[in-house]
Amino acid sequence: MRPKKLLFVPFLLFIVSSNLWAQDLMSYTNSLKYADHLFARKEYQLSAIEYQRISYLQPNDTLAKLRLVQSYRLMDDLVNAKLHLNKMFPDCTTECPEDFAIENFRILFLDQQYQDSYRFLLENKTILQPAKTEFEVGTLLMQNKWQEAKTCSEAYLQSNDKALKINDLYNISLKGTQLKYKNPYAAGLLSGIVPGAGKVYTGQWKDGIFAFITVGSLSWLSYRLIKDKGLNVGSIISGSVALSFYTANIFGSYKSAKKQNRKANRELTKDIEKMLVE
Amino acid sequence: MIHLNNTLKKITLKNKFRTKYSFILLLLIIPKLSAQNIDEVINFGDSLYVEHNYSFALNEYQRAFFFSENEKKQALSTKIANCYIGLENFSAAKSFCDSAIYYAATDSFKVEGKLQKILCSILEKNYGYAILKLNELKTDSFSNSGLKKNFYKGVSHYGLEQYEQAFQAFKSAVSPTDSVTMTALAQLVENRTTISRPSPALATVMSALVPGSGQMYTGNYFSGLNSILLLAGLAYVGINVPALSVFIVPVLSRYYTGGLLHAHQFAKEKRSVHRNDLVNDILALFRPNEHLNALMEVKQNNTNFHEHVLESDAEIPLLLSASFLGYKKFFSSQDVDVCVFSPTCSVYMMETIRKKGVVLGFIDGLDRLLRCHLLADEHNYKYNNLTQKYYDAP
Repeated sequence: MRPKKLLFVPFLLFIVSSNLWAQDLMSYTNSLKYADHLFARKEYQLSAIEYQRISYLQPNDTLAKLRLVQSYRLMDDLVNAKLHLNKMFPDCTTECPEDFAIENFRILFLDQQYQDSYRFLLENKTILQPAKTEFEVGTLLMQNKWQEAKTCSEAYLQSNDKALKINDLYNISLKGTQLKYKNPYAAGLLSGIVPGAGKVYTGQWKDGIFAFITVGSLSWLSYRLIKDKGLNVGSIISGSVALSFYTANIFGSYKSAKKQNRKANRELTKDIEKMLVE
Repeated sequence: MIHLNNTLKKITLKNKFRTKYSFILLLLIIPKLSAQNIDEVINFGDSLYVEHNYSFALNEYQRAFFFSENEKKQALSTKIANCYIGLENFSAAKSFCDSAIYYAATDSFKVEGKLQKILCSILEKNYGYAILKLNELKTDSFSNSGLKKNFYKGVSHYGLEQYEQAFQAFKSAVSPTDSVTMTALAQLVENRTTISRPSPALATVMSALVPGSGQMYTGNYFSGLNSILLLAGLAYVGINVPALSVFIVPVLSRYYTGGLLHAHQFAKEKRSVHRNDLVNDILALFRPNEHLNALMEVKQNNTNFHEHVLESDAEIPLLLSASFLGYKKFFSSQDVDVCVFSPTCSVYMMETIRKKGVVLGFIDGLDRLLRCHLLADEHNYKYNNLTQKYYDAP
């Protein structure tokens, strides 16, 4: 009996071990190792798939789920990031853990839904203090609400004066309150009086000069045509072309002032995204 | 009794030996089983690669690369680099070629890795650098890698339009025992008169003397006819209505210059088609890497202006759409490329009319014409180095 029994032991071991090793590369631990390696190497497209497998194999692994959402966010696939976050926390407002709440805020922020992200911050209770005020001030600045951002950051800085990031944000809001915007209607009016003057006022002096030369020469040509030969087909066409360009330049000056204001706002807020989303 | 004892001892010894033996066997089997699993992943990757499913194959290879032993990493790096070449991500492919060179056990593997890296440079159209690196590479002249080296040299010289050197390199890329390929190559090289025709210089001169004749010489009869009719019409209007000559003379000179440039361009395009036909025949002789064939295809970019046409059926939008298409077909096609923006002013006009309505859109389009001058700078618009245009969308 004994030799047969002894032969049976290695056979059993063989079956057990073959089962153990068969799933080798796709197992939970190996997938996790590989996924972390991919995440560290910033190959988010591949790491997202791995983390998805891991969270399927081990539904309790919350870190893997966080990494899954982060992978999607870091590869700029905000739709999928939001989808996976909502699957885990269908109502991600007040109660979800801090890391996930921050992730939700970042997704909304990167998606440029600043009003939604601000509302989310007000309702949320899990995000801890320095981060919460940073996010609040950041969203206010992105909406160009300089005064509100200033009072919000000032209130926080009075109690804690060591918050460096909030200090930076406060400085931006201070610059924002001192911004001098171009008035679009004034630009249009100036261009109505002297063609191109509105564009010079908004800082586009090259466009202004070119507009002045074009509109001026076209007007002079049609003036001469009307003066020499009276109203005929040529002078009417020439006059209407000159008038169209004159109107176009007024509209262009109005647009240029608006563009300049947008540019000034963007110039101030361009670094905020990097500051809040690492 | 002693005898019985001895036999019992023998049996237990035998059993002990058996158990030991089976455990050793087990220990030998276990790593093999795990190794087989990596092989399975690699085989699956290979089957995906054969189907040109590069991104999925890449995924499998990357996983195998992460878990495999150092001995296998050379072959895997080569495969990963091939996938990246298929996906046209040459910088990543190069970094994995470096990894293949690093893990290479023998010198011949190292040379293979270097040749693959040079292939990446060729596919990036970085021919001069490829030739430099090929000259540095030391191989036996009639070994497999030596022939490959000469072949790559030929392709690089061809890319640089150095045809004599290219044909010489191609000739030395054929092994001396292969007389069939040698004669076929010699025949192809002999019949190579077409690669210098049609001559761009001749086409330009012809168009300068008789507008449109250069385009007709390259086989583009429609453009030639368009050019001569347009110029003749403009000249007729200019002579009969002297008041308008202020506008007509600059426009006329632009269309005349445009005709010369287009004749030159058509001739060049047609010549490159002839050249590519020849090099494709040569490449077919060598049965090379499939990626190299794609390099030699002439890419034609026919822009379709019908997508900018307005949808509305009312009279004014229809008239605008028709005049836009007519302008693009008969006037803009003859013009010099002067608009400093991308999309061009006419396309911008159509798009902004689609967005803002006829009146406001038309005014916005005219404002764009006022902004389209040579003083435009990077301060206000994003500059595209490749097309040398400023980006300004409606």
